[in-house]
Amino acid sequence: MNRLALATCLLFAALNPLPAHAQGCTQCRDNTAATPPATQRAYRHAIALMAVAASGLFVATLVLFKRQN
Amino acid sequence: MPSTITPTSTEPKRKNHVEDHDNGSGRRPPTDKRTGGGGEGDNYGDRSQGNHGPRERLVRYRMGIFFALASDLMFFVAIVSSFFVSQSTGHFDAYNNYVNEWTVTTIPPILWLNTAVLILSSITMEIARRRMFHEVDVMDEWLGLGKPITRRAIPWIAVTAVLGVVFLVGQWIAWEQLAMQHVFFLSNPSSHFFYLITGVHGIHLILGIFGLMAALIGLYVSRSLESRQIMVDCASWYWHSMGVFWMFLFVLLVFFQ
Amino acid sequence: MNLSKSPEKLRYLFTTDHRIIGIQYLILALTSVTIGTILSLLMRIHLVWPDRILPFYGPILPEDYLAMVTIHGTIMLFFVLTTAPQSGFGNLILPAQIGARRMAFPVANAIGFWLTATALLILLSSTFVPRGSPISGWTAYPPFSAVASAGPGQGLGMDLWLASIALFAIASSIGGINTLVTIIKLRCKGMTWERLPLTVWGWFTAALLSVLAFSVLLAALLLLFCDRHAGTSFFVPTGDIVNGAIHAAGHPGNGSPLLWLHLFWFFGHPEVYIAILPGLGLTSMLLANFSRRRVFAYRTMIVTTLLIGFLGILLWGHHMFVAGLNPFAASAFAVSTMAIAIPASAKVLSWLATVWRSRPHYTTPMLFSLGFVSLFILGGLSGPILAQPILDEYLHNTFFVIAHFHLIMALAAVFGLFAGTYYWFPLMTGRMMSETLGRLHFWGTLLGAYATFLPMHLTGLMGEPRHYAQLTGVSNAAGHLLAGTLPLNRFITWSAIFLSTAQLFFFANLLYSLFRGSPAPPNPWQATTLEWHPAMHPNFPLEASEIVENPIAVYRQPCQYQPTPTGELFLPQWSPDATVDIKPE
Repeated sequence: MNRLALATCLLFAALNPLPAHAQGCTQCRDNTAATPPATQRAYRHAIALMAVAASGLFVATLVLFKRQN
Repeated sequence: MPSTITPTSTEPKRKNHVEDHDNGSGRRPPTDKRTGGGGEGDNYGDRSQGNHGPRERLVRYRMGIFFALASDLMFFVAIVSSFFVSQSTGHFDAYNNYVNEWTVTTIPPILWLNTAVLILSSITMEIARRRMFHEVDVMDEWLGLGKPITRRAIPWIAVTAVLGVVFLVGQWIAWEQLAMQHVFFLSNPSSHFFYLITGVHGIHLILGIFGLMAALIGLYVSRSLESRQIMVDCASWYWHSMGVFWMFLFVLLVFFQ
Repeated sequence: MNLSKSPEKLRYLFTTDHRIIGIQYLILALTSVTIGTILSLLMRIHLVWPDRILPFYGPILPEDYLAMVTIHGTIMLFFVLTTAPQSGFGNLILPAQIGARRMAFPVANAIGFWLTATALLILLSSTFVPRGSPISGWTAYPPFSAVASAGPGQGLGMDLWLASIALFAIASSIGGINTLVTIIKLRCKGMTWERLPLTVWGWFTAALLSVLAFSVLLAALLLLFCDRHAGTSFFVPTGDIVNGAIHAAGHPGNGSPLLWLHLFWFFGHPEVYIAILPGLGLTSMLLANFSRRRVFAYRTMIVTTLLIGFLGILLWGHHMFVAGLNPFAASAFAVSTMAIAIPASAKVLSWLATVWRSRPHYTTPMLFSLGFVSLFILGGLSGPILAQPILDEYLHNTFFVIAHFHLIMALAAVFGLFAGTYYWFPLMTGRMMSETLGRLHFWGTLLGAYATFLPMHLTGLMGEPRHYAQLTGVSNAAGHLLAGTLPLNRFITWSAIFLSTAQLFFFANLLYSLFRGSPAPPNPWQATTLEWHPAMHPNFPLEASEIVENPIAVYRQPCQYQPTPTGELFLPQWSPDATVDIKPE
């Protein structure tokens, strides 16, 4: 039941028709607008790489711990 | 005077009697697959040091080296991330033009050879590691019938170390070749990263070679079979990881510039 | 025990025994926190009386002020809030709490401590080199940190800072690995996942974050070092004008300060959780212990601890909302930042539910734990405000931020440390700490803390920026605004002086209780966790044979209490059956 409610919430959030708006200062906007798309993509990739690597290791450690139990 | 905490001896006392064939690994053949630690009902963790079960220390050290390698992986991930960002970032020059000075650093062909050498060294290291755990020989050694596994592992480890040195020399030659083409560390953002990545990886390999040397010395010196296994095991996992890291870095340098 | 023989002393100094290393870390942290506090007082005094001349020194110049900011931040974050909870109590208590007699790698542990101590010495030595300590803050943003000519202290001082932090990063990674392996491999029989005390979960998560984050810092430091000495420009674009000179005109470079911010905060945000996570776990345990209740929703508390750690590595971008971050990335980071409110609120609810309508024993550790809760709520409430890029745009780099992170991270963690000290002092010394002095200390600290940091929200909202050495002497409208904050700032400074003076009670209590404190019973708090197991007593290490005969085993979750008509029944983790409580407090 609980999981169902959680899944419903998540599904609702994921399918929310409201678009995600960018938030940031005008300087950030100008800065981003002046940045070539390739650079933006590179930052995006770098952020994803770091986040995925670290969270992957985090989860892997938990799995390891679980298996030791 | 307040009571003070008495330091306990955290390391097991060195056993002086080789004759009783107690190698400190818990008086069980070191081939036992039980790990010790938590919740196994044997309560290994609560016993005095050295009686935690056959492979308790080995598994502990192996886990330690894995966490260290995970940490190291994040180090390289950070550098690779910087690589991607630097690659596509430009700046404004004196005439207010947006320029990106990144040019592809040609990879010296010798790097392919080096990579092959490193893969080969990983294979020899794995052979050495498997030798250390070869069950029949382990039993022989544990019973005191000579040091068969150690004798057989030493050449492979030595070969690995030599191959490691060959790899490093190869990297040095690659640097020299680049220098002859007037590509230096400071030439270009991409050459920054080429030298940085090869250099940092080289330092890791030098540490690895020191590890192999320590394992070699340990194989001669250490009386405890388990200690010898640990040294070879940890050195080999480190070595394999450096090989894998290099493959990623090499692919990055070759295909993603 | 005869301490006069020098080998005996060396045995204490270069020991591999985790408890002594823990105490060494605590002493190091106590030294550091004293230095850091004195620096903060000097800063506060300079801020409101800028013309005061420091005795034996002279007037405090703006660069001196910034150097103090740097050393204060570095020392407090690294050498106090990281070492004391994670390495100090982590060594002293952690093995005992999981029923282990040692850490997994004792020698590495000792090496870690000595690296940390060396790092501290190097950091402090930067004060005495020509041109002094670096002035780029503990975050060392380029181009300030990357170019030696950017300011006084950015030359040799900055190099020393780099060396110090690099050593510290290595030491912390070693410590993290050690803690992880200890928790995973050295638990005693029956100590399953759900029976681990929440403090251990806090240490576990923090250690995991140390392992993942500090190496990224190391990589960033390496790149910064290349920028400073090898002529690269990873973090500063070529042609950038730094301090009137064009940077690295001869070299190509596509550097961007934003890259440093990403790398640094990828480390920096987990670092914040490394500081607070042990405190979160300790608070749960102490509240339950002194309320004689079970921890409300124990499994959920484990999950929230891990979730805070996990989310902690995904939200570093919220430090960079006005640094030129892509607004879409800012939105994403804002979402992940606000998501952290979910596990954090769950923790607060569990604490409140644990204490709610119980009859708590208001001992000093309990008071400090309750203080922790209040600080965590209050500091946490400004978190979601700052997590929104739009609001942060106005509040960024103001004293509002200072108030936020001092309340939720610095003071909350320090309250956790105080609670731990009062709670575990009997274990360390066999003596109780004085309750009277403890209460005085607590109320003084709580009052001082709120009086110091609550008004900072107001001055921040008025627009007082961080890192300004002086609020007077600016002539335009901004100067008018700054001058308007002066009355409040004077109040803050007096409060800070009061807050630091209140710490004298703590030092008095430490010294008094160390020598004159009443002898402690074996389990003075009716604690249920394993560090109070009679066989775990640090002063009487059992022989190996005894250990094998009476193995330590765990039969239940921690903090199991039952009220009975005659008194309270408390079931320690190690007791297979109920033990009737007979000892009054």
